[in-house]
Amino acid sequence: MKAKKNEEKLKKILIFIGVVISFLVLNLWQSGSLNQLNQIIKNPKLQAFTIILLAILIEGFPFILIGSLISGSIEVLVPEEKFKKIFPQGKFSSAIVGSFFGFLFPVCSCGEIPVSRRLIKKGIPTSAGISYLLATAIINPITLFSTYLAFSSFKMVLGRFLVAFICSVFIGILIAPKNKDEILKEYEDEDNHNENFSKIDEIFFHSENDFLIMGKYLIIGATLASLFSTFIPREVFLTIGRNKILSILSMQILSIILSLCSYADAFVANSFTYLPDMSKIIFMISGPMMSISLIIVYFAAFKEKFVKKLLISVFLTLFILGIFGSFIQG
Amino acid sequence: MKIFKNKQFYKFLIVLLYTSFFLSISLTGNFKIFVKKFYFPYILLGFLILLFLLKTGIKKLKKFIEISVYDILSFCVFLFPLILFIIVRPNTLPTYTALKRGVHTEFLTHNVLKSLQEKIEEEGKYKKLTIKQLLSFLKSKPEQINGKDVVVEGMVYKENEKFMLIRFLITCCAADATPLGIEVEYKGMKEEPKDYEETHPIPKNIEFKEKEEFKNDDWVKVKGKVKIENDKIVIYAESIEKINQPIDPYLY
Repeated sequence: MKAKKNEEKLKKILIFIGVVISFLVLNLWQSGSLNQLNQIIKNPKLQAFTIILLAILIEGFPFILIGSLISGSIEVLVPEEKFKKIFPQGKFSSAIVGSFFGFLFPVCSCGEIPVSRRLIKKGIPTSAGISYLLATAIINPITLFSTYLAFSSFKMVLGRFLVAFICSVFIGILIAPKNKDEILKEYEDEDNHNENFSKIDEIFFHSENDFLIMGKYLIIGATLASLFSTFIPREVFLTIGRNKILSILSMQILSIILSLCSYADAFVANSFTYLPDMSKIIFMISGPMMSISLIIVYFAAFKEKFVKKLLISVFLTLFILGIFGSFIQG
Repeated sequence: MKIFKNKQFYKFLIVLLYTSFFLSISLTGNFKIFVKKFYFPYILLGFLILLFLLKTGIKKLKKFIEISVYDILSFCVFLFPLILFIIVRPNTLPTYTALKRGVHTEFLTHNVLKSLQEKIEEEGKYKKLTIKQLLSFLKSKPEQINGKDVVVEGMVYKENEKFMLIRFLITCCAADATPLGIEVEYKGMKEEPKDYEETHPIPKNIEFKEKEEFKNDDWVKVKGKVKIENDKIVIYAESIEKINQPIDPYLY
């Protein structure tokens, strides 16, 4: 009943917004401002916003699609007992296996979310699912190699790998609940089986579902990321970065709002010349774990309470690891 | 019109619209405005998966699920980027982005050797170099470009009375684009000191176009001499002419 009431309310709001917009358009048309539309379109801010938004989407959609396809295949083709055999049941050991799973399913940011959701649903230990979710965008051959290309220093590659590994295993153990239902959000027509479908059809059936849900959230996330990236100057963060502790914090925030692909962020991190190495490492880990576009997609796949817990613990763990690391480094 | 009340129809429509979007950016080559050229296989793969989803979508159409307001809302979310794409007709990342990101006049990545090995074409006495190549030389072999005649293409970007030439360097997509820039000076640009002719290696009798003629974001081709001043490259221009935007607007 309540849902129905809410829906009615929403309907009224939407109609109201529609009326306001059409009134505005009519008004603009009458005053001749619409002729200036060409100039509004050419506005560099709008151009930059559009290009960055579409860039994130064009980059993300293929990975979401690949991720959805893998997820659909896991759902249909892999029997549940299989995964239970592969994964050790202990929290600690399964989290370690999970964090290296990226070598097996190397799907870049966005793509790993449907896959890890499905893996957890299929009954792998929750701690393994969480550490896979956090680690896979960093601990995979492509990302580590591109980090080497950007810095030509094994120290940075090792640093990125180690901190990401420690963080993902730690959080996998820390926040994993016993019951997978505490994590997974339920989708409405997920278990809607149709006998007429062949196995392949069923794979695509699940893939479409995953794609439409994650895709929607990716658009919202990309819109936010693009707004931030267009209007906030990077200099703000880089000047704060002169202080050791603040620089870790500001790099964390910058990585969240920039939403870069994990294959590319090493090159951007390298351009922050004056920052200590540890802040750069934290920048390259925080981004692939909790950038704004990912955060929004997390909410599509997992329960709200779990996502909040995940975000807070990742943020704090990285902050503490960052400070600890920068004192070791001197 | 029962079909317009079917949720499956809207799902199908979203997949259809995105399939055609991916098809159109691949066919027109427009995807190069957004992502790296070498990213094309991923776009193709995405397109193929979408095609299969389309096929499944048709099968699912037979089943009727009544649409709710929430479904219409998510349909609008999917429409939003596409409408933006059609109305704004994006061209290339504007130099406004350079302002927000800060222009790099030095090349920071250590991996410069590759761009030094690229073949360099010549146009008359001028060497055709990209801004990335120039900055790579600056980092590793500055003596090889100091005093050389070069021709460089890029976008005009004016900052604090400086006239700069800008190209964006891209690793994956436009979100990670780093603006690379070099300074350009030309005769008549600012008030000249009396000994301008002696200190600046510009040949006489070359007409420069009014500087007002060049606006930010204009694509130009600059011919001139390279001079390294305070570890930065300055090009003393002999001519600046407007050109069309290159097919690949970014550097990789």
